[in-house]
Amino acid sequence: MATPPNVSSADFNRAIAAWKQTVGADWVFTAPEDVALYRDAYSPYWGEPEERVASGAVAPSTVEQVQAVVRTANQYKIPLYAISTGRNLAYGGSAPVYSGSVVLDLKRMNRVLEVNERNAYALVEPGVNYFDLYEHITKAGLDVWIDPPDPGWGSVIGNALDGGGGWTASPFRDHFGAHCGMEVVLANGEIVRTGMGALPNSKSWQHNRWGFGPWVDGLFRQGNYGVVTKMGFHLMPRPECMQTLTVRAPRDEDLIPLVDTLNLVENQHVVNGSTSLGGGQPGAGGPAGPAGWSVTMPIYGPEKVVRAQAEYVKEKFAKIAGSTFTEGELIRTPLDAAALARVRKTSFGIPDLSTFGLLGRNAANPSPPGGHVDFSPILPRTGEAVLEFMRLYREKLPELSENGALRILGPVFMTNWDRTMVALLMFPIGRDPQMNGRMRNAFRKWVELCAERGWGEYRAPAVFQDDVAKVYSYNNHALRRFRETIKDAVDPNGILSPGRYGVWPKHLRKS
Amino acid sequence: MLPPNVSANDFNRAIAAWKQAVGNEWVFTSDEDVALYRDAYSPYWDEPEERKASAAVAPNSLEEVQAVVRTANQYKIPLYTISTGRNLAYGGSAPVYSGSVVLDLKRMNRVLEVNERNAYALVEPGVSYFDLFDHITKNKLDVWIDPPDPGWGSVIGNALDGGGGWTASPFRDHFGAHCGMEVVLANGEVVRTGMGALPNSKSWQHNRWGFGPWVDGLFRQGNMGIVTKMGFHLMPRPEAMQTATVQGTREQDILPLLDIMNLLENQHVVNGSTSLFGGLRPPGAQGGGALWTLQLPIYGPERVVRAQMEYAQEKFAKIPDVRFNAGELFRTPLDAATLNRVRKVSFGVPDLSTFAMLGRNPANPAPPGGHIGFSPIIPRTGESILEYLRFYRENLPTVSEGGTLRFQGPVFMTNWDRTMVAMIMFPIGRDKVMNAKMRGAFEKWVHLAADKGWAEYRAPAVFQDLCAATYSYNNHALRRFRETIKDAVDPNGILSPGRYGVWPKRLRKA
Repeated sequence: MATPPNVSSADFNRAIAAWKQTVGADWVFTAPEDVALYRDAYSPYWGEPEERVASGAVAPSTVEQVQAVVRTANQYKIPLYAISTGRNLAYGGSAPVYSGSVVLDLKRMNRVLEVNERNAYALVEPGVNYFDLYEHITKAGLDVWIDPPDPGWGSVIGNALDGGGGWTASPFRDHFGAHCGMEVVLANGEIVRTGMGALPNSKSWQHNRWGFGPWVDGLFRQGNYGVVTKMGFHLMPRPECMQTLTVRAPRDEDLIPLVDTLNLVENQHVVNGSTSLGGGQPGAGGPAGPAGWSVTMPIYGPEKVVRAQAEYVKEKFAKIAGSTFTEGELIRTPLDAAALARVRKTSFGIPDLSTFGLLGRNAANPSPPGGHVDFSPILPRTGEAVLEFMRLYREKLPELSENGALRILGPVFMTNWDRTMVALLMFPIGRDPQMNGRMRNAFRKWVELCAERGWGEYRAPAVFQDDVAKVYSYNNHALRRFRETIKDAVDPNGILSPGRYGVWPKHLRKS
Repeated sequence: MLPPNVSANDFNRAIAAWKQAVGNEWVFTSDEDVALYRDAYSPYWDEPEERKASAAVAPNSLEEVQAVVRTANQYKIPLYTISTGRNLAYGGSAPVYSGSVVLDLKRMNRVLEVNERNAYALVEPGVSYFDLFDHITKNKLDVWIDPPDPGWGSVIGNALDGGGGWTASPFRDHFGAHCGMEVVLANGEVVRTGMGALPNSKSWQHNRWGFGPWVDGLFRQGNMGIVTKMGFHLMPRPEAMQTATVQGTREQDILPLLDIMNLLENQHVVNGSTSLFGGLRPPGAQGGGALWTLQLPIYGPERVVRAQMEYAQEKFAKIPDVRFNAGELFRTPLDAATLNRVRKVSFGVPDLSTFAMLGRNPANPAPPGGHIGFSPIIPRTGESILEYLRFYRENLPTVSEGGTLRFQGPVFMTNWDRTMVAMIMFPIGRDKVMNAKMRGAFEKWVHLAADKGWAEYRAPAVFQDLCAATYSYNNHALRRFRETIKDAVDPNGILSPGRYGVWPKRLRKA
């Protein structure tokens, strides 16, 4: 049995005994075959000494049990790594950032505590996944939508805390931004409720997110200052219909007015769906091809409003000479089975696994042959920035891909985040340590190249979180040091998810 | 006057250092200068408990702020940061902790960038809504700002105090619409948040979250640092605006009225700052006129606004006997004649009409009367409104001392997304006996509301401890968590001690 770093086996055994007492012997995992289930199937260090692996796992089913587990960990200074359902695939999965941590697996806390249709919100526990919440709403016949991301089996809370997003309308698809109120267990085992929830018997915990005084919720986003045990989310009342508009423009330089116009209609909130930008792929289409760039814009709302918005959008894009505008089918909700079969379900608030079904670990395929990790730098949302990224990519790809031997996929220009442009590259990860090593080097070089140009990532796989955090170095890493000061104060033994997003407790920091 | 627990020698040394840092004329110690920082609306006016500054210092640059803070930290002198000090009705420019030195950022009034294509601004704390509006107008940029009532107030200060404006969602939640900060910590170090932590960042005002734990929230109604730059998302000028008015006559109409308004707002079909009037029929009046009036402004392209209006009308038509009136449709930009007959702030034009009569201004340095706002959040349902009205009627005779304390309200504010604030205004004047009665009544309302599960989103400086104390879940766990952070990031407790109930260790009551 592996033990956590700097913890004696006697102490570890005492902790395990205490945890078994707390959560039941069935829910403390120490056997190698059980703990192996927490490995990250997409780890770029798979099977190598640097692979981040857990020493054990414990799965409480109530907030009181979480408190007890954390108190025991704090007593013996055992690092915990909190996961909700552990489906953060391509960004670290269920494996800890700090090897030897005990995974605090919250999957059993899967209660939908409230879905309020009139005020359109939900309050859930961390083990609730998008399928669970969807089923709860469907069974209860409530007329609200959820906003699923690609991994529908993922946790609603976990996705929000990792900085994830979904595919329906703004502002709901920024999952952290759409949350309202939290309950958090601190490193000392105490429970804090944020926002209006700090008022005992509060009647508006899921109505107003800010509450009174400094807002601490942000600390738990991509953070390690506490274990979130409840979280509220604003939901979208079912929109009556959805229509997707597509604009194509042939020339490279058309991209500039295309993105400007897209920004305008999104910033006016006339287009509220998750837009996408196609094109720019080396070799695909190309300058002489039929369409260099395309912009896809879903609009959600009442039918007459959507039609008026589509007309307005059409007029705005008509100013770009040579562009073509297509109105897609107007789809009324709720969708019938036939319509559902031909649409992307997540765009209609229905969780699905189509993106992950092929790649991910699942019951039928416990050891998938291949995975990927994502490199996600944020560019300014302008055509110029996209073109600059393309030039950089074309210029550096031969060298960084080892003349194509590393089959890096991308760039995909993602406009799903409000006002944000992410230039995503996907790195295939497999079981070949030698190839994985080359992918890791390439990943790290892209991080540096982008940082030199003022572009930094919004999210990163666990093993690259230090690399990425390091480029956010303004004023000699002042932001990191500020976060460390807070970390040391609220988690003095450094037991909660050490290293997550580059925040290490004092005893584990390199000086 | 000296700051508490600071020797005259140390204070003099600090003042000398500050004069060196910012220039003699920008350090204020004379009684008449320091008196300008008094809160004209203080409920303790001229009483020993009035919160007063010992001095003020006004730096002009980030580097000067750093130097001032380092000196304060060295001598453990409490600073109270203000941007322009116009947080009237919530404390003005006076410190929460008496004897603090006001750190007045009004000179840092540079509009650093307004980007029309990506619709954002980056400003310093001394930039008022008028300043930003002038900058945008002069440069003919086709973006709107979102002004609150006090147009002379700071864009940054208003956001950090939890203020809001009157145009469309999501822009009118000022803290929510911000994107990126620069902050000076208690040790004088500069932190940039979000994408700004990347040197040479190109997207500081594009994406607010950045990478890793998001610290910006700590500076909202907070005292963990001094914000010296802040970005804001702006709204591209909407082509039109139209306001629907919906009226219901029966008390119970408020239930479906509010449910439909919630639906329309949560669908983002109605995006303007809605309002709800009514609920209290004058004694003796029976039936007849409207008991409830909703106003729903919609901003957007003309044809979209018209479609949204039709949709809203259909939804409200399901309530029997409800009257729906789509108001005049205004096209922007407004001409001068039109601008004169509308509420300017609803069209992105800063204005002082709400405050001009009440506030302190050069022509009227000591106004006879002010007010403070009691602002509890209740659930956004008709049932809560009716419950609040019953509660108000039931308690009013006692709390108002048989009507001698002339509260105004309740005003049900629906300007915050998904939030209902049941505001009561308390007149504050120069009569100490009356002010004391008002304070007693304010305290009673806070406790009575907290018992019902309703608490404030904002409070005047002198009542921040009182309101913070009601947020007591798990033996004040949230307050203690904030205190732990406060002690770590500001170990000498020099930054705005007591703001929103967060006191540094040495000033906490055990």
